[in-house]
Amino acid sequence: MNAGTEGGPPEPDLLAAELVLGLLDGDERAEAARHFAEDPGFAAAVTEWRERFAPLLDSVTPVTPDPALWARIAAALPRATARGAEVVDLSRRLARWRFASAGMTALAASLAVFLLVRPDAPRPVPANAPAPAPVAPPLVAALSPADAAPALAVSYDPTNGALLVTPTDAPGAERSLELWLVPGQGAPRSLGLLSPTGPSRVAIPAELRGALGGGASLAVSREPAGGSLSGLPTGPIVAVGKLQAI
Amino acid sequence: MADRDRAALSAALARVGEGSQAALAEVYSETSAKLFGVCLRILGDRGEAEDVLQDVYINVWRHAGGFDPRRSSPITWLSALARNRAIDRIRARGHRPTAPLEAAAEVADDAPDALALVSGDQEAGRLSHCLGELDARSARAIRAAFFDGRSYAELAGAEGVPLGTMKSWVRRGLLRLRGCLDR
Repeated sequence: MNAGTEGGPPEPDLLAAELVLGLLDGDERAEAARHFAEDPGFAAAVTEWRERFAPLLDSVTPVTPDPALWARIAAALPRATARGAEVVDLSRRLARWRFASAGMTALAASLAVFLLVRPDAPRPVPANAPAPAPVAPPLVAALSPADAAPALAVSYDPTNGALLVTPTDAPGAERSLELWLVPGQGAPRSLGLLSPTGPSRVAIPAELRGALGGGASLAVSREPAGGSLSGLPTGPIVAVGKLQAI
Repeated sequence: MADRDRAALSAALARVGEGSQAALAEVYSETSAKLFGVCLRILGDRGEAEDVLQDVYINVWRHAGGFDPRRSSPITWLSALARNRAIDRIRARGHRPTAPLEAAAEVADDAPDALALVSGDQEAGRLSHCLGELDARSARAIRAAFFDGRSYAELAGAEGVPLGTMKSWVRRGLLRLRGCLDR
């Protein structure tokens, strides 16, 4: 019963519950959010706690909002950034780059994520001062494919160009997963192969960091073992998404 | 929620993910009263709750592709999104009146009954039962965190106890809750 109940860091499952409840502040919250992005086991624990507490929300009495609200929402929908349109557009563009593939597999993007703010460099703060204003939050994405393909959690630290990609399922052993940066204009650039079994740390070349922070997309294709020989994606795209700070 | 409704809502969300505004309208008509109830419960102000609700559906529009029906029920996903946005809004208010937790607990105290009412839902009955098994201080803090977005520091301040004491109350409660729910 002393599994972190006395003030020290709690066991991971309790940390997941604390994140779901919103009990954490500042660095603790940022740390938990980083775990969420990097550790699929922890992300699953968060989902499990969210489901455990869900009945509390089910018990809330429904209240009909102002009937005029829907019109307000419909008018405010961002057209240019409509998620679906972006994905379809991106998948079309990627399809053009793929030379040798037999049929496009299901493609879906997703980035729901969860995010957090962390000051980009720890600074000494007087104990009673308010939390420092968030600066340069890390970017986080979860690339979730439609079916039967690996899902990946991605986090990117803009301060040092380090991208951490964690697959939640292993690809077939005879295949490699290759990560691509898809800039707004121009051809995809390979960022290298991903480890099939654990997190991959990818150092983003300095000249590409601007594009990544500026809304370029990431895509993962399944390639022959060893990666694409053409320098462009050749196999099915298994996941695609855009990094965002939410 | 009946399986059929759940499947229909999941399908509508999938179409929203493909950019269908008609599908978003369908999701809105099926879920807006529920999500507005959640926003209103947390914020206590109709105008603010409507602003947040608008934000919630715009987020659904942007991120519906992130919904995975294998991992979560659609209404749970949507309700969690609404709760998170409402709590973000509370936090953005900055200074919050440090109302004692009893106030939060009073409002929440009718929750077990409401839970029991929807107890066609077995999960709700179990959660209600298990929260009832907790030490009153733990249960009060957990409810205040869930519905008011109070952090450990705020809970400790409201109860007038050291931070470590509050963490220990809540963590003990969470362990007990998990043990009870997983039994």
